[in-house]
Amino acid sequence: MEARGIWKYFDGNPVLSGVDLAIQHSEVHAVVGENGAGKSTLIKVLGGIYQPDRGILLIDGAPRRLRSPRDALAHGIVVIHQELSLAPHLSSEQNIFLGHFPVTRSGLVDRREMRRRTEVLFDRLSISVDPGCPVGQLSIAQQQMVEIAKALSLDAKVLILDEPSAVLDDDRLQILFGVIRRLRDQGLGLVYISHHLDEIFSIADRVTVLRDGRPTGHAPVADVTEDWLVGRMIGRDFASSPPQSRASGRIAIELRGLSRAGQFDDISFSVREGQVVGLAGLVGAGRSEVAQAVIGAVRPSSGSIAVFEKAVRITGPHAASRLGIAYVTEDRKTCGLLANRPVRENLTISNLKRFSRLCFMRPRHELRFARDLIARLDIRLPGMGHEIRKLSGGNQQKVLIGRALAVRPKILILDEPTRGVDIGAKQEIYAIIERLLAQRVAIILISSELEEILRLSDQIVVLRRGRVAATLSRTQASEAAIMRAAAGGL
Amino acid sequence: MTRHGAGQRLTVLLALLGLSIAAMALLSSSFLQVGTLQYILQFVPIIGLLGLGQTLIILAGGPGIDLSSGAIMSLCGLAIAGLSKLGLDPYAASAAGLALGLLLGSVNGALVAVIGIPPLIATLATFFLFGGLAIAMTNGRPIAGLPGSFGWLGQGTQFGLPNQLLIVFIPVAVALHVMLHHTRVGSHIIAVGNDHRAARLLGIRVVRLRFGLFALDGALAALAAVVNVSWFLAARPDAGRGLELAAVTVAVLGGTRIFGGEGSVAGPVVAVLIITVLQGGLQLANISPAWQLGLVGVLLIGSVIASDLPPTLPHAWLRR
Repeated sequence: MEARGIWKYFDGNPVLSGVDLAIQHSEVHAVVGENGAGKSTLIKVLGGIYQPDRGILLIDGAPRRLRSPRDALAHGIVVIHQELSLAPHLSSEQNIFLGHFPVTRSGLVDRREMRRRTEVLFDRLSISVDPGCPVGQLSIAQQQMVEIAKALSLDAKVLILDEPSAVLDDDRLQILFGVIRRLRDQGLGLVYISHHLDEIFSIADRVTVLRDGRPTGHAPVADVTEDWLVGRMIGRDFASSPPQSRASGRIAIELRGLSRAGQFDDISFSVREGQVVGLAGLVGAGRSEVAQAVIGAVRPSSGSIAVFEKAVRITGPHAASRLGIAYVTEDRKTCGLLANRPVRENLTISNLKRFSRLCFMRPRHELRFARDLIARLDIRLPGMGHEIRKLSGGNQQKVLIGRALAVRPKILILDEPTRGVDIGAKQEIYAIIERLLAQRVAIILISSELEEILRLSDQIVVLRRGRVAATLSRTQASEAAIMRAAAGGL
Repeated sequence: MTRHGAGQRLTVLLALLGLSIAAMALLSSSFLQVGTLQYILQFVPIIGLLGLGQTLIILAGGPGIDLSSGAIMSLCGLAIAGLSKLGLDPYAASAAGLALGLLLGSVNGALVAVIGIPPLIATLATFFLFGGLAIAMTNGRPIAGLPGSFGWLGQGTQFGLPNQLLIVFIPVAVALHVMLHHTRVGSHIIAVGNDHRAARLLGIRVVRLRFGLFALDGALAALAAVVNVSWFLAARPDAGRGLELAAVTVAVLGGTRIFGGEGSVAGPVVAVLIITVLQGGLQLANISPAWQLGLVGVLLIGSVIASDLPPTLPHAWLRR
């Protein structure tokens, strides 16, 4: 399959400008680029979801129009999206053959044949999953495999994987790589989308780099270096500034023996003005749950919280907001963005009091504030009325941070602030954090990226199974020290 | 819906209104007479008040709906008429009726927002409860014979327009418009309708807001009851029967997204005008009420197609 000179416009803005991509049989082709570089749009063009405004798609050398995902499937092109599209209550075999069930001569679903073919597919992938088990009970990694099996059952020739690694830990990733290599050796052409450069080097044969919808590089992976890729992706240099020591002020917030049955137990730490306390730990260690309790989204069962050395009862997020505590969620999609509302509303909704007199809104104040914030955070968008779901992940994240800033927080909780965000936006978010610290905001940072925690935190609290496993100062902290505490003495 | 989308919807509705008026004028020669229009406008406030209440409930998401507003109207009407018959001043009785509406609406609010029963089920239950109570208390008989002086609101006119329109509906519609589009509460309603989890996390008190909207909806239903009692100088225990569905129709025809988060006040107001023009016109032309209902159904589907599909559908067609 080949795409030649693909252009795609949204509201008159080019999102793809002349992108070429040739996918060979028996090859893994990586597509890299920052968020907003046009990767998702390109996939949607390849998968028949969008039609290109200019340019052509060639399949086996012949030009084709893909008018719908169904068209694409008919040509053996299957996209596996980041959000999997499985029906959770159906079994994996039912999911795999949904829409093309094998039937017996009498027209009924041939269960035995379905089971047999499922097992053949699973064999081909060398995975062991019970074909009859409802998909909802499988792990994310297993679900991904079922999705790939589904693609194979459709006789896929080109398989497009959109950031499959985002939901996988290291071991699972190696299993996925094994499957990808096997499929490549069986003759499939694969497209692999990712942020993580190390993955590109371990799995891809060829790489195409996109920046702002333009192809900026194309080469066999064996011929390129990480620096080359990063340079092509961001088109500018950034200095990874070493953290300076920060002036600290009064204790802004203190947790004293905070507990919630079954989630976390006896959590104590404090954060000073202008400082960052990093909450580290494995997924499931209770970090987000602690944050939820601090903002009153859930009630702790015992323990107390003091804000500026005054004990407070936080009865809900509204109360937290009144105390100057703001929270940026880890889950942008389902509990962060007001997806269908314009950017301006998304920025200001957290503190409308600031933009109103009595209870009447003052739209001009609101607009001025939003403009100012967009400039300050360098949020890139076509227009203020633009619906936020159309922005890239990095820009969406900046809007959420901007929203938290609208309440003029004294205490800011950032839960995975750079998840799903590209390298450039990540640096920008770090710069925003440093500016906030200079303004004496106290920050609680939750992150699964050790590098991020180490770079930003003045103090690191490591949680393990809902308890504080270690409290490390900046000088004591290292990746090894954190991992030892988080995983329990390796 | 973005502002652009809302404007588009309003244009379609206004065109539909023009079309309905033209069609009715062709259908019966007496339609465009002043008396006829006055007569038709009398039907606007009651459906309009219920429709706007319903719009707010749906807007706040959930997916919200209030199936009991017609029953609340019936029950409040009986309370107003009954208290008046007991010797209370009808206007004081109306105030009591409004308080009752607020209370009954709060019952819905408590069931839905506080206890967390899905709105469809909770208000279906109160629909039976309130409606049954209205029948039971009166044995199904209307309460009639209120003093003629109370008819001023429901029957009187000012500058050729019904008082109930000038004094009740227009001010309420304007107030709700301002509330929805120019106050914090309005923005919060839209935000909650869009994503209640996000809204809660950023400090909006979702439970309180939804509770308040159900209470407000109850009060609006009671206001419709005041208008109705004053109009007929009597209260029937089934006065509001079927109006809850008319209210849903008004809200949806008026461009309210059924899952919440998108909509306006202007849209439902035009939708009420369309519905009353059609019903009044067809009645005037002696066409059976059954057809009137059928036409409203067609209109509902037609308007959704006309205003929601153009951005994508013609494109798809052109590409073929």
